[in-house]
Amino acid sequence: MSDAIVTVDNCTKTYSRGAERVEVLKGVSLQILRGEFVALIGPSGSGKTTLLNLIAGLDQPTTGRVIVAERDISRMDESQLARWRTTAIGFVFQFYHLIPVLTAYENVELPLLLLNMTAKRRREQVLTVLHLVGLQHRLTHRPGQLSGGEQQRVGIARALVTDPALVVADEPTGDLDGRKKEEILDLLENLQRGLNKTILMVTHDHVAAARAHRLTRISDGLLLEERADTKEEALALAFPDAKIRGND
Amino acid sequence: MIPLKYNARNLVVRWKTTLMTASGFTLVVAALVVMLAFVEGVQKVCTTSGEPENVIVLAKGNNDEVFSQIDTRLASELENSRGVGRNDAGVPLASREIFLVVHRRLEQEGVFKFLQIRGVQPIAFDVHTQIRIIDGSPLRASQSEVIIGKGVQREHQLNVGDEIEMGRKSWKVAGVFEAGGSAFESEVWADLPELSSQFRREGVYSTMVLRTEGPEAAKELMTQLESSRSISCNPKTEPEYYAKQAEQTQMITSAAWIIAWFMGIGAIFGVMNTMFAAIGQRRKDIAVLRIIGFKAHEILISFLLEAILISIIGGFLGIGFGMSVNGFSRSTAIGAAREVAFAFSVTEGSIIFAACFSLAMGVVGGLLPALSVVRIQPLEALR
Ligand SMILES: Nc1ncnc2c1ncn2[C@@H]1O[C@H](COP(=O)(O)OP(=O)(O)OP(=O)(O)O)[C@@H](O)[C@H]1O
Ligand SMILES: [Mg+2]
Repeated sequence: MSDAIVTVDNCTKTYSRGAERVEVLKGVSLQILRGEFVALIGPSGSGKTTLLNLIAGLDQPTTGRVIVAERDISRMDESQLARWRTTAIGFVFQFYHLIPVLTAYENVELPLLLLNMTAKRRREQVLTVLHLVGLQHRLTHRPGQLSGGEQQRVGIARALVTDPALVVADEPTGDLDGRKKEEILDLLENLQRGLNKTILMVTHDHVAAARAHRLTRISDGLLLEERADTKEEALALAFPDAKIRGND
Repeated sequence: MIPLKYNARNLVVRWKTTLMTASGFTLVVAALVVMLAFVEGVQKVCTTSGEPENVIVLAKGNNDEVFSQIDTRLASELENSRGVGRNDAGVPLASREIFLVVHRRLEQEGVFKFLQIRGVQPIAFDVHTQIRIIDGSPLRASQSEVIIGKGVQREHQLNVGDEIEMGRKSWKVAGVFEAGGSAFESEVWADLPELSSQFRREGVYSTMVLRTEGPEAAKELMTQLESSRSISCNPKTEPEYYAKQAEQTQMITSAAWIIAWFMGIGAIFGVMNTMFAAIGQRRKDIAVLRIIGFKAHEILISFLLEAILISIIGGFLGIGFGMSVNGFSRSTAIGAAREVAFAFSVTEGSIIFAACFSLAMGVVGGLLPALSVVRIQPLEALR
């Protein structure tokens, strides 16, 4: 049994818009190990979200295989995938995407309603994760009554509540800045460090990317070998002008 | 399952739209309940009117007392038919009656109302055993007196001691009677000879009511009269006669149904429109639910339930409004020119029917929008 939670095996993804065919992924292979915090970076339109969606079971590759937690998800149909996602993947979105009419507590509880679980167990689990993200005092607040940073923490709690094998986050700090962004990154880092969560984060922000263990860069539908020994070198390669910005 | 509070809260958030949409259901359901209460009320009057022992005889070819004319010769032949009962004094239990409808102006309201007048002989009270004087005294012959049914008392605001103009003279209200909720309660009863002379109807009767030993005997008498070669008349048992009269409310009922259907279609389109709009506004919610692992059909059901919730709110209010007419008394025209007092009667059955009707409208209106949920692509909706 390998230690890889995610194995992407020579995947391509082609979208056809009418007669026009766009090859977004042109043969991508990638492994993510258990407990890793990986940042997927690359220019806009390079296929980051596309790859993330394949790994998260939201989309199917045109060719190739995706194996997550020992299951070949490229062979599952939508109905199987739906239930599989509930327990296997935790989703964190750039714009939080909480249900506006539900409270923080209820938003986090939502995925658990799909599982066979007593109300008591559900409650324990929801409170645990809300505590983890530091929102135990905001249980009955609606998303509209929370700040962006708080909403994202609810989003993270919702992603964690089913104890998934993998947390995927597409630009989780894209809508936040300054201290709020740092707080969310701290939180993700702590999840990885304290709970040994596996995290795949898409970002094009060097500050966010710097928090990850490993950088994977995608460009024009292909993963680039960074030829870098350390994360710092990889960062410097990926964000050539980041140093200057980092200094001011 | 997606919790119902998700739908309930969305309904509360857009409460104006919710109320507007629900009001369509309220209208339909209230109209239905009132209509059914009307039908039920009239039917109640007509089915309680008439005693199964009695055979009412009209002239051949007539179905309504107002137009029927029976002459003295036919009357005495009927009186002596086999099966007609007799009272202790040996008098045949056969009631010769004339029936007239006049207009009476109500001074206070300034409107005209029908007044149904029945001229009867003393034997009538042995034939129509439902009649009970509840106020004042019984009818006396040749005293320019009348007794009035309690429906007349209410509709015409008359009381014991009041005077009524009928024909060329004034009559005094001697008593008020009830008749088990039957159509007689909407009538004024007067002495037959006295009334005939006032309206120049001497020697002609409208109807003849024959009392027999029991329901079976009544049916027998009816067939006997029908098949008789010497007697030419139109006999019916009293319950049959009044049931026939109730049939004429069918017109009103059909019209009300047509209106209810059209309003129903309006309400269905209303909820459809509202739900399409709601789904359009909540595409992101739907996408997130799908991504988290809810299946398309679970979300479909959730939105269908939301439409049904609207129909429940609307239907509930409608039933409430509709029920407020319960027991409310009105009079309605039945037969040729006859007004009958009845009380709107909201039954359990009609409430259940109206509730089901509302639910069905909710399902029909909610189905199409809910089905559209399936076509929403989560990834597209979030872009
Ligand atoms: N459903 C689709 N149909 C057609 N083309 C698509 C579809 N989804 C994505 N694309 C195209 O695929 C390419 C990669 O898209 P993707 O969203 O993966 O980029 P990205 O790296 O996440 O970009 P960004 O940083 O802007 O989010 C883009 O050119 C996009 O237009
Ligand atoms: Mg993207």
